[in-house]
Amino acid sequence: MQKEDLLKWLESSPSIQELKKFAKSMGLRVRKAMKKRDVIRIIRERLEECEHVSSTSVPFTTLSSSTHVELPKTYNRDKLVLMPVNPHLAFVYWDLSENVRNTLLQKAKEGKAILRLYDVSFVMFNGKNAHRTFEHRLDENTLNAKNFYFHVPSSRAVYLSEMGYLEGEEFVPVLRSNAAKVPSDSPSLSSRERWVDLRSRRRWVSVSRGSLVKPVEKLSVLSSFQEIVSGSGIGKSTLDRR
Amino acid sequence: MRGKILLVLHAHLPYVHHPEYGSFLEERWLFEAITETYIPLLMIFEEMKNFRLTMSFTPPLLEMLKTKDLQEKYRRHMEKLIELSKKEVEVTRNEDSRKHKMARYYLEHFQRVLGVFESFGGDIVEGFKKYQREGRLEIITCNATHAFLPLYQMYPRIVDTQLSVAVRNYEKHFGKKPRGIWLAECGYFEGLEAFLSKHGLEYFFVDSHAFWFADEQPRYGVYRPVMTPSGVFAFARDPESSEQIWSSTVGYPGDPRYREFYRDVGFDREYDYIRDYIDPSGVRVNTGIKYHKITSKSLDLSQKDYYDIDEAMEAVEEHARDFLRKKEKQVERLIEVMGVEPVIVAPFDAELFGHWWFEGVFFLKRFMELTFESKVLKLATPSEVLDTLDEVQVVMPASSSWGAGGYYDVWLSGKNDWIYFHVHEMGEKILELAEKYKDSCDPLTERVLNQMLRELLLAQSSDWAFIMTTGTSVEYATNRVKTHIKRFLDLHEQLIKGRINEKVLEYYEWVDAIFPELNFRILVGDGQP
Repeated sequence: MQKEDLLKWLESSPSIQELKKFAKSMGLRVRKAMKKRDVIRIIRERLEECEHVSSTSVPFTTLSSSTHVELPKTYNRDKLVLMPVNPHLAFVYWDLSENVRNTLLQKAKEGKAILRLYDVSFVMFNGKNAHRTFEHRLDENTLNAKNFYFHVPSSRAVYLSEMGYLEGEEFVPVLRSNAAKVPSDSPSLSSRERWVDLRSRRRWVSVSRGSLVKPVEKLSVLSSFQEIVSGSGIGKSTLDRR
Repeated sequence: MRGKILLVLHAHLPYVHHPEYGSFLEERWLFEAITETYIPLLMIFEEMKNFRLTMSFTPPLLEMLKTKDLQEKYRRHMEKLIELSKKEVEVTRNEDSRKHKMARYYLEHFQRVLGVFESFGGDIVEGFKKYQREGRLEIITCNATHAFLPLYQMYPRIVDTQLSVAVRNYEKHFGKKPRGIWLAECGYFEGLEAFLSKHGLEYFFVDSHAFWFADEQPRYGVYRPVMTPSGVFAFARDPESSEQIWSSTVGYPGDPRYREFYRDVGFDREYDYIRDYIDPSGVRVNTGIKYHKITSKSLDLSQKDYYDIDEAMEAVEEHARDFLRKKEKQVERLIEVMGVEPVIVAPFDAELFGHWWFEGVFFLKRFMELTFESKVLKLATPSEVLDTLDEVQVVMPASSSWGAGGYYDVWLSGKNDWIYFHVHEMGEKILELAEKYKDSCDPLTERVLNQMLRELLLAQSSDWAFIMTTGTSVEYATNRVKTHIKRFLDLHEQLIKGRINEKVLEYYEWVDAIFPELNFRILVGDGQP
């Protein structure tokens, strides 16, 4: 309902019950002793306030009406964030200030905008010393989509992403992400075991012969992901997911 | 030599409280969990001579259980349910005798549940504390709003805040520090243990593959706790126990004699009859009165036969004995291979028992009773295990979760990845402001920042991302995230423009009232573990 409609409605002599109900839905505190004119007053006051707060905040936004809430498309910050998803997948998203966005958009139009992923396991990355470098050319749509999923070749490796453009043959980085380690998906090859005696605090290292208890692992089957979609109940379907 | 088994129940619901509404559909999640899981647990605790159980109560759940308004709403909810049960007793006189028998059972059961609720003055947390004092129930915490921490690891201060809020909230409710923590969704990343150590937490839980794929292979697999490099202990889930209970094909809850979850009078009765007992909007919901049994999993819902609780209790007895037998066999097998005492960790969502698997609470009771007589297996709490530990292997567990796929996919996919763009930004914004205003004495500024932190924490709940992936109540989850982002950004703008609208602030404080004790300055530690 628009504010004008609400004001009209207030003048259409609604019942005290309706008024109280509506006031409550606006988050106003309604006391039992309140008369009709009191309730109308507090509703009007709240409506007046709405003009003083920013356009993004309508105090009586209820959950049911916030479906169409528009969130900011950008926070005007230059930022590239890399997140691990699983041993073979990483997610990167970005936000760009206006200037940088314009530069990169121009480069994307020229086919020169680039998103890079580096394997930087065990190195202090200086821009040139990655074990492996992967590149993806960004078109305008991808740039505007503001995120990207990378299939990564090695589990338990540390990755880092850069966004930039080509100048001649040279890659010019504009943004650099955090480093992110993707999880491991296989037993360690280390032949070491470290132990500690909690009483004496003695520590020692011994040779590992692997785990004495050999686990039976679950095969990941693509269709099993469907399983968790069934069910309902306490807000979440838990029965099939463990 | 006996093996030990740790039963761990993770009790959690996202913070859902809408004081601005007389009743709200999603508040029923809490009511159902109280009626079907939490109070039935208290009932079996009372009946058992002795037991050992570990439970994590998440801060949002504790906050809701302690909220007077929700307690009052629960009371009204139960009064309506009991009224419906009385009608059901009458109506079923002319229906199948098995229905009538269950109607009488429900009436008596719900009256008892409400009685337990009232015996603690509506605050059932007090009920659990009693068993905590006696050392039978070990209560641990969970990170503040159940944020999935691996997806915040690039923001150490945010991870740190989730832990610091959790520890303080536990102290508020239990008057002491928690020894252990359940990480939301077993969400773990290498390095997290250092944060736990900083907050004085002694142990946490991970899924099996966190040990299998650790930096060095644990000699005893998942059957002994390990010590992480920062001195915090980790327990890993036993895959066999989970499979025996969770599996949708071979798990106990699928027995034909057990109650069918998806047949409920809320959907089965004539609309006019049930109108007063479903959601006021007219949307049909589960009431908790169910007359059918699973019968056969291949049968259509409409063809299910009637449920008989005595028949179901026979299944409970069989399953509890079967589970014990399997655990004893497992222990014998493990002792042979390991040569030391195995520790079996069996964690579950608490709400599985009672809510999803109606008879699950009785199963737990019988299993614990039977185990007390076992010569092979012994119930224990994590503290009991750690306090008697001498030699322990030092291992860094592998990053993992207990969600589908075993990693982070459930909480980061095309269905929910948009969340992090905003929620990370909120983190950056509030950290900047916290730094700027940490020495401010202006009470209004402080209130705005405290409320911004509440909105951030609420938006971080893993539940919203989870729901978006699983596809139930997606609209509500999406709205919740958006609403918290909006309120946060609104307050942010008010603060930086120096135009704080106290009425709006007061409203947000009222509708998002979690953690009244919160102070934004906890954000301004060094953030390092």
